[in-house]
Amino acid sequence: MIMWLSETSTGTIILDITTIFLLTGMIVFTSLYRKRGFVSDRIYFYMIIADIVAALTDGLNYFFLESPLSSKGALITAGDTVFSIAFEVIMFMMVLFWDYRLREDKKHTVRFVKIAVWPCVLAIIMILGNLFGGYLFYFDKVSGSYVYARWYDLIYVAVVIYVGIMLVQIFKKDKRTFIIFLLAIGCRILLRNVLRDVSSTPFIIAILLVFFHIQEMNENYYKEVEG
Amino acid sequence: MSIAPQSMVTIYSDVMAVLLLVGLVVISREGDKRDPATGIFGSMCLGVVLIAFGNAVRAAMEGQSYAWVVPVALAAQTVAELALLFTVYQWMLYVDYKLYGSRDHLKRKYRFFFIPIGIMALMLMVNCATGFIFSMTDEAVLKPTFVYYILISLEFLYLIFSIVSMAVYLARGGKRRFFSITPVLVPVILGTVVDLTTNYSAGALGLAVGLVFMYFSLAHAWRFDDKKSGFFNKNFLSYLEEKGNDYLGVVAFKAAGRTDKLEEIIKGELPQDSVIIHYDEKRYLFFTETDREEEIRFLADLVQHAVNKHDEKFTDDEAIKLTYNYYVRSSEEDIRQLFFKAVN
Repeated sequence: MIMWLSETSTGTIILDITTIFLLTGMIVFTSLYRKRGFVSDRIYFYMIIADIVAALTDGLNYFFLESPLSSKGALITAGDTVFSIAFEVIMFMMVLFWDYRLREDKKHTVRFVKIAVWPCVLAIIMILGNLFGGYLFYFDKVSGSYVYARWYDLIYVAVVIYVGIMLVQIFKKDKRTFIIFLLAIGCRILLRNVLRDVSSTPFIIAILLVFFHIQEMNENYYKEVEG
Repeated sequence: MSIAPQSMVTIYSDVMAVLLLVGLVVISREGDKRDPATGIFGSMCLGVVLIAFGNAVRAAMEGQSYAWVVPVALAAQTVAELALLFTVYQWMLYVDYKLYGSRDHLKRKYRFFFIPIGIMALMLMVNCATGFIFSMTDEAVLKPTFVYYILISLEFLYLIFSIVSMAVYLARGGKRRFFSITPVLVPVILGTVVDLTTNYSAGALGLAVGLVFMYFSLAHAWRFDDKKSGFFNKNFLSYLEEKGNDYLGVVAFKAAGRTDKLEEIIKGELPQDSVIIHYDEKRYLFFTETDREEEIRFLADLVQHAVNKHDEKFTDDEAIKLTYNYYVRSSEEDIRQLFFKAVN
């Protein structure tokens, strides 16, 4: 598509641009909900922003990966650090979002934060530590390639914990959303294993956010106002 | 069987399009089955899923050297093209119904929209045997002829026609509430640009995003739905205040008997795009843009006469027993004050 870009990078960039486009639309279409001021509405907005950051850094990473820039190693490492942190934060916020949606009790959600935040905090410390240790990912200047190091999969520990909690929360709240949630995660894993390389994580998160909002719209908008 | 790198991107975007639409259909609130727009929207979703499926299968065949690859790719591409025609046709119907809100208008128009689409669909089927629109190389790469581009242009003309329809409707003083074609057209055009300028296909993804945006823009109206009657609920007053309005009069209909029959009569007698609020169990408020009492009375009497005819046939429990009052807004009053005049 663009000069030096391979099909993999082009595919990733197309999906990342679509993600940003979709999420920008979501900011517009959820504006009325934000005016209600519910905890879940605010968390939803922050998830959109975090996913836009993830899509932006993901797209830029793939763009730089095959670019002739001399400083691309530092740019990619910084980009992947931001992307990974955004990913962890989104998963943490998703758990909070569903906790509130399930109970609609702000006090419970505040108490829940104190426990649920720890996997995210530890993951962020680990990701930031990688900037000095390079045990998760690094850019190999000799070969000019990006390397996933031995402990890379540790990034997914917190994610797996959050997805596990979310599965229970969504199952309790709405079975149809639960099925689609499983389908989306299944698609992500399948595509990753069959087709590899093209990064679709920000897009899958955007799709999940779309589904979460549709699920919320099924309920009465004025529910709490009307009592 | 290994998949060509450029096909990988197309398959990815098509799978995402299918996932998006399957999720939308499965999770979304069940629409009003009496409303033709619900069926048309579902048909458009199905059409886009078929487009994505056809595209993905054709892309997966690209670069393969098995004997069965070419016929499978040709069939898949034909399915995708037919589904695209079907979706574009449904889109025209959808726009027409959303603008005019009339089954009769839709019935008058659908044949007119269908003739060119039907001819193109026949041409696509003939193409399977003749290849005069498109064919496949031995490696299942699409080989279009100039007729293919004419076909694409005609499909685009349909989209342009939907913009023209909307402009004509608005120019004639039609009211557009909660419906805009822009959320659909922008992603569709972007997806087509990717299709035309790169080796990858993102058209189905653009269509899927467009349909999701359309769903969200229409869903704004849900806050104002009165599910039982199909009119607006009381919250619609806030919308009128927020958006500004030119309603100068109001008729308050009150039924002492059957309200379901009254609702049917109101829908049949008053103009299609009327603002009618279901205030409480027995009361309906009909807002008018005129403050001329004879005009307001004329409209209210349309309902009253139809109700009288009904009540002549059906007595006792079946009767509606309608009374109405009307009010006009003075220059110092706003719509909320007019509203309270009618309900108090």
